[in-house]
Amino acid sequence: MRCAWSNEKTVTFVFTADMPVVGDERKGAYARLASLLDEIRSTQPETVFLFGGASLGPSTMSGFDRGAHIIDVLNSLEPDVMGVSQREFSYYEDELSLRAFEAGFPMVASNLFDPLTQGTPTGLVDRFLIEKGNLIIGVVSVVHPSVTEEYPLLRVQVTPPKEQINAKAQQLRAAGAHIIVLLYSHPSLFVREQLEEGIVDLAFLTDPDLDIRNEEEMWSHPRNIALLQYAQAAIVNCSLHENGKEILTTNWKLFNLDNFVPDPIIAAQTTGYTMRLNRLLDEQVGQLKTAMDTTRKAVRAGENAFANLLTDAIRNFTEVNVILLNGGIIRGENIYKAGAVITRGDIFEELPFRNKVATLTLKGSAIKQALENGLSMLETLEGRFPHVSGMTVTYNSDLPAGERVLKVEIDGEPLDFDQNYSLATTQYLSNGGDGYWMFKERETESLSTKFPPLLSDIVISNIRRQGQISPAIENRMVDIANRSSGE
Amino acid sequence: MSNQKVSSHKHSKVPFWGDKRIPLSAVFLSSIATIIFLFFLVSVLAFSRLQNFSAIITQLTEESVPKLAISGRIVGKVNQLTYLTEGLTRAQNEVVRRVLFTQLQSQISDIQLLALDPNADPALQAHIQGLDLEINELNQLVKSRLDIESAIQDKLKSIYQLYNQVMIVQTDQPMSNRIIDDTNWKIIFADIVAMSSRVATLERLTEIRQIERGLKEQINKLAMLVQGLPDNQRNDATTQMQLLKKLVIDKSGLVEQKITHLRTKGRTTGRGNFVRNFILDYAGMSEYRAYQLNEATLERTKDTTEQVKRQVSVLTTISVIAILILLGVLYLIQSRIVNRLEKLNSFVRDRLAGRDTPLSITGNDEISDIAKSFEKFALTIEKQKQILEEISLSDGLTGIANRRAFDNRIEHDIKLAIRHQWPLTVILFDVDHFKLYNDSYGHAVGDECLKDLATSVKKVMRRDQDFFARYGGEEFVCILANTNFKGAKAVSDTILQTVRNQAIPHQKSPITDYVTVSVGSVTATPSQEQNISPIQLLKQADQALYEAKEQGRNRKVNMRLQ
Repeated sequence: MRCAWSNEKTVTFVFTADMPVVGDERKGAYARLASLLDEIRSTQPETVFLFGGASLGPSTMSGFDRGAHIIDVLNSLEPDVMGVSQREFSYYEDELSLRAFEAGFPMVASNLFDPLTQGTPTGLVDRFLIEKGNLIIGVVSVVHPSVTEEYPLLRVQVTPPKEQINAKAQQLRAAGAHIIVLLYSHPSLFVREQLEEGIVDLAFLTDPDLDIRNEEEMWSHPRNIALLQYAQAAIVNCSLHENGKEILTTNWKLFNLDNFVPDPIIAAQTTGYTMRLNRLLDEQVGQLKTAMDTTRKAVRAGENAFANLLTDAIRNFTEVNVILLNGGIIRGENIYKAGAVITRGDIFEELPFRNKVATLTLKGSAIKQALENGLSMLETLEGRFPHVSGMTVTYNSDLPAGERVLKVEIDGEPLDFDQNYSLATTQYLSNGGDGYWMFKERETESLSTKFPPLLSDIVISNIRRQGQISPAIENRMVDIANRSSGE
Repeated sequence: MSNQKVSSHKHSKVPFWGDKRIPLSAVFLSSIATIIFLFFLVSVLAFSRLQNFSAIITQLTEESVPKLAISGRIVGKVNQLTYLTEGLTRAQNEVVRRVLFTQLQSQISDIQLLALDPNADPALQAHIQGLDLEINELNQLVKSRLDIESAIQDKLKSIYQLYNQVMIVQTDQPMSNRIIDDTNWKIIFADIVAMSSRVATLERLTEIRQIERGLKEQINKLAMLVQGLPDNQRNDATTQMQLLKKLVIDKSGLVEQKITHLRTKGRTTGRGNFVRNFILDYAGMSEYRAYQLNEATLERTKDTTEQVKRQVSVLTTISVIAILILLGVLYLIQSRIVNRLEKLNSFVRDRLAGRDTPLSITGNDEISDIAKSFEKFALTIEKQKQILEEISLSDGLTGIANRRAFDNRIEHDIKLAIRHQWPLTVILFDVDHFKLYNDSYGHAVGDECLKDLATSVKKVMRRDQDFFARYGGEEFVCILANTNFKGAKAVSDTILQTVRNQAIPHQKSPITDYVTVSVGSVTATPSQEQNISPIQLLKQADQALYEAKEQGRNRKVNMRLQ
């Protein structure tokens, strides 16, 4: 597409995100993306590749390199800028800073504050100016505040996105930006206002799990480009007045990445990673005798066989009264048939976060609070659903959040609010993650002096010891509402 | 009488085991069985505890301790790998890379050797193989990064050389070879060189791409300016421009190399992190295993100590109980067997000595059986002795004939005297004041005295037909066949004299200081008296003796039968 008028400037944006699993057709078709980029770049001289992030984790490979391979692949694809989203914090903020130094492109996070540096976390930038020909594009990117609940953050604080966007956009305008581009990940309403008020010119949203979460209401705006599915890319053509101050037209289209032939060079690169992973992880650790489902809904809406396997392994390992883990740590999204062989890789795929075990002692009343928290967001399939071992919980999902737990039994005895129980969970939850603040208020007893082991390693050695496993749903989490509606 | 005593004892004292019969064989057997059982129990217990303890110690020394040692060494080696890997990733030159890689290889082969140890974690071998590959690949990446870095330096050098050639006036060169003197061209050329050196310092791909665009534009400008140059300079300028273009923006030019460098650098860092995390994960797991092993070993040692303590107290208790039971058994044997055997022994001895000791052995077993049997036997023997004595003709004490023999003999001798018509004399004599003798010297001495008298008097009876008997107590009797009154007087004198000769002291005797006798005799002559009865004879002999006593004892009175 050539300029129609001489007093016009054009720029083409390629936008995609949410590609955490390298080589995966749904969540990491980087080779196909490369072909798309080649095609656009060869036809559109002023192409800006905006990568929305949500990709550095979690995945099996990232479990090992904390997303370094994603940066490596992106270095080959040369994004002009990458936005920092929630998943970038899968392995704590320091790992993200390390990735930023490996990246040949800037990583933008406009609403983060690191008390250590008294500013944006090291390596990241709070805004960025891209010069394309004689157009200057300012980039702002915000992380949704829920990141502090859903991901382990040690120091970094999330500052209000709306205010930060306003401030950073103003600074970029002052620095000569013709177009202000916003990258974000939850359909926040204030973005529409900012678009309408002209604070932001183009807003790029990536939220492929929105439909499952069905939390926020989606709105639309002609300059709000929303990716609501995996393996999609948006191509946005934008024409501006010669002075660059006025956007004349914006049109955009979504493309499915599977329409593009994989680029052989990038394919070789991603295959290299997959092969390395297989090399390290194809060791068979056991065989399944029952079927297992680890899809998002299966691990976030109720008791789950794999979660039972996981909690039992940890209970066996730590020898405490009860285990409580959140469903959000299970990420494989796989359906296993009975008889399937389980490899190390499978477990790392299911548990890609580098979660470590923590044990704490707390009162029965705190366990009740924890369960209420875990069951408080059933409707939106949040990752906080509690998976347990050593106790049985009866609840009613029809009741209002906070009053759903009806009965709790530990080892056949009713939960005693005043009694102390030993509980094992992840370090993430013990730090108050996913709303489990009641864990943070207790003193955590470290398991070992130095390195508590990874959840995945515990499960692997547990399966290896048993050889054959038959995880099953055993009425540990019984929803009475479900039962009555099912009958 | 003794039987009554036994039965009265039975009623007065009931032993603790009651009246029920408990055979000694049962007591013996159960005692020995108890002792053997206790001995066996204590031995088996002690042995099994020892076995148990030795098994635990063996496990500690053969399993836990070597496992601990191996895991400790592996943890140490693995921890060294982390900083070596970090160093390799950041190696700034070939030498550092080579040295660190060599060290890594030797560490890995050390760990591979450790992994072969049967006490090592079986998953270690697989892990270390994967790690070996990763480190080799990391080394390759670092090498290629270093290669690119030196290639970039070379490229920069060539660019600066070209720049020098273009810029520096070389007066000794012929005019045609002199530098291009178009200022604009030179400025652009210099700008390209400056941009190139900036490219070498940049860390962002976007910035490089931005400069690349600028470089391309400048090269284009340069190409356009070449057209305007004088003929003699145009060729030179074209060559130099082509050279510069080749060095900077063509494929394998500086820009491409810098981009490759950035990618390789990122990849190397990523790979380095990957390897480091891989090692750290393994180190964490193996350290945790070591920790668990350590804890388990400690726990086990604690358990063992507790167990040993418990076993010692159990063994002590059992031993004490065993000793108490043994003491009980010994007491039982002492009271039921030894004491009663001793009692039985003294009872038997007493009975043998003739003492009428009451039977004090209680109970209902072999010993009481023996005691009762012995009692029965003793009574039987006493009875039989009495009977025997009754039917005997000799006196038990003196050995001479007794009253029974006398009674038989007198009948016979009377008949004989009648038949032969010869005289018959019966002499009775009696120890004077024998009661006083017995009182002062005792019955035993009295008995001795009687024996001595009998022995000595017996010698007086010289003829075969003379008969001498103990008539009873201290009274003796002689039957002298064919002996007349004169003979009777003579024998009476001889008896008196014989006794005096004996001179047996009798201090209390009112007659003399010696034992004396009083003698009375009767002599019958059958021709006169057809009817002689033993009673008549004895009665008159007794009368004679009485008279002798009346007359003052120690004398004789001889009478004829009237």
